[in-house]
Amino acid sequence: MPAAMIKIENISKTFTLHQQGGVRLKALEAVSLTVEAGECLAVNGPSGAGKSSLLRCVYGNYLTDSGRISIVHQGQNLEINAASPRQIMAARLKTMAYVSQFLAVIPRVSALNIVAEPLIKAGEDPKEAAGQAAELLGRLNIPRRLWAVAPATFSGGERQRVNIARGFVKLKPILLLDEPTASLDKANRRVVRDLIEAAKERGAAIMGIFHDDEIRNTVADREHLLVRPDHESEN
Amino acid sequence: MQKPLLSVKNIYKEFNRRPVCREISFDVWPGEILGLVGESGSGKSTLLNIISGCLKPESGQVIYRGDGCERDMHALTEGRRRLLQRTELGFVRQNASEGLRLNVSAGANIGERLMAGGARNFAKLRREAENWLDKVEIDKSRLDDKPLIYSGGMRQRLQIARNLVTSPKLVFMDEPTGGLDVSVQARLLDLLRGLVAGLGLAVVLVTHDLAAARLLSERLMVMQAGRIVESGLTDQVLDDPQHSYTQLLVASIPQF
Repeated sequence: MPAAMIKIENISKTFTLHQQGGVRLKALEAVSLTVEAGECLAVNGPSGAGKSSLLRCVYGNYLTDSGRISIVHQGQNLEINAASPRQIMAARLKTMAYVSQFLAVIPRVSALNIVAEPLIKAGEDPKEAAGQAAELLGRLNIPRRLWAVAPATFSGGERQRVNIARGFVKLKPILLLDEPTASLDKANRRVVRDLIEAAKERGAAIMGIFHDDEIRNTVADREHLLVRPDHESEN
Repeated sequence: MQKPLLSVKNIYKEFNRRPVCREISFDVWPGEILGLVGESGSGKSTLLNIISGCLKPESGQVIYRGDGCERDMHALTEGRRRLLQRTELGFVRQNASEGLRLNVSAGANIGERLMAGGARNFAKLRREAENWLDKVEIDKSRLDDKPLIYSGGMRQRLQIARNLVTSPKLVFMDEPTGGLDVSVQARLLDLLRGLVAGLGLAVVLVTHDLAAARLLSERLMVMQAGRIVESGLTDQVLDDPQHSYTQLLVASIPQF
């Protein structure tokens, strides 16, 4: 039986807005799923169903109220919901990559260096890292003249491609993709599709939100449908 | 198993019987940037002074493990603490006039800590000072100028050079970008980010700038009325704040 890389058991997530009279907003209710090595699970559901929140919970960016999220990190189970910040940092360094729709631009850091950073942080030789970053930027059709430029002035699609390159440059065993192709043209969507397929072949467990049917139909092995939880909480 | 570089244990401090730091415990790990945010008057700077050995708490311990042996910073003799502060620790102040000697040359400001550590070769000191001016992006021709005639941003960069020249293991920074205009802030933050990553030093960064905290620190603590009310991974604390005060802080930033 293949190993589950991500196992989510009965998690719930509520936002309590203290500054707005303590309003409680339910984002996730009793969600359970597993993702195995080498498979891609598409998380589906209407807007507000908690798709992004679910990915963020797995990445440790959001806390959960109850339930359990465990991932396989360096051959051992790590419970994200109970892990210390340093354990989550270690898991992000070696095991989990998260590709969002938006690129966090760091002033004055070039596109090439943004992409090479995950490799360098993981201990790769900076020259080797730059080479791999360049190759990926080329594949994603970012013009060479932009590689040395900080992406602050890039178009939405260019930024997203830099972000994708950053997420895929060091192949981690778990990939969390939040609409990776939202603002890409057809040719670049194909490149991303190929990157996802290649990651699967190398055994990555992928959880993704894909609004683009064509991408979803090609890369996803299974789907998990989220329903919008009742926003009114009992208390 | 790696141990924390600094362990802060149950600090209590009062001024005129008014508590300013209460029940504060945390660790700082080698090579990490730990952010500390909170409004003015929440006790951030007082806490920074306590954990850097500059101010004695009413109770609690600050354990430093720089070279394998454990030392309680506030149980050391004055001389030993000073030595530690000049060699293994650094302190970048918001007000550059507290962290620099404005009336001696930039070169002498950088060389001072090296000389305190025993360096005497003038040519070498000068080369090292030039080297550090370059790292903090100050033109070498300004080596003999007094920081009195430097701009605010240059003074902050000089303070950083002055502190990092002895390769400290832990640097305390109190609002290093406070009072600088935004473009100068961005440059300083990026410079810090690069230097810290390259040198592998740990930083405790006090700031009220949440964007700076997000950019630089991996872990974040939020302080209110003398207590740490929330702590965690920086992105988690800022994206999913739990405490009502943190929610207020985060909600106070305009979103574009």
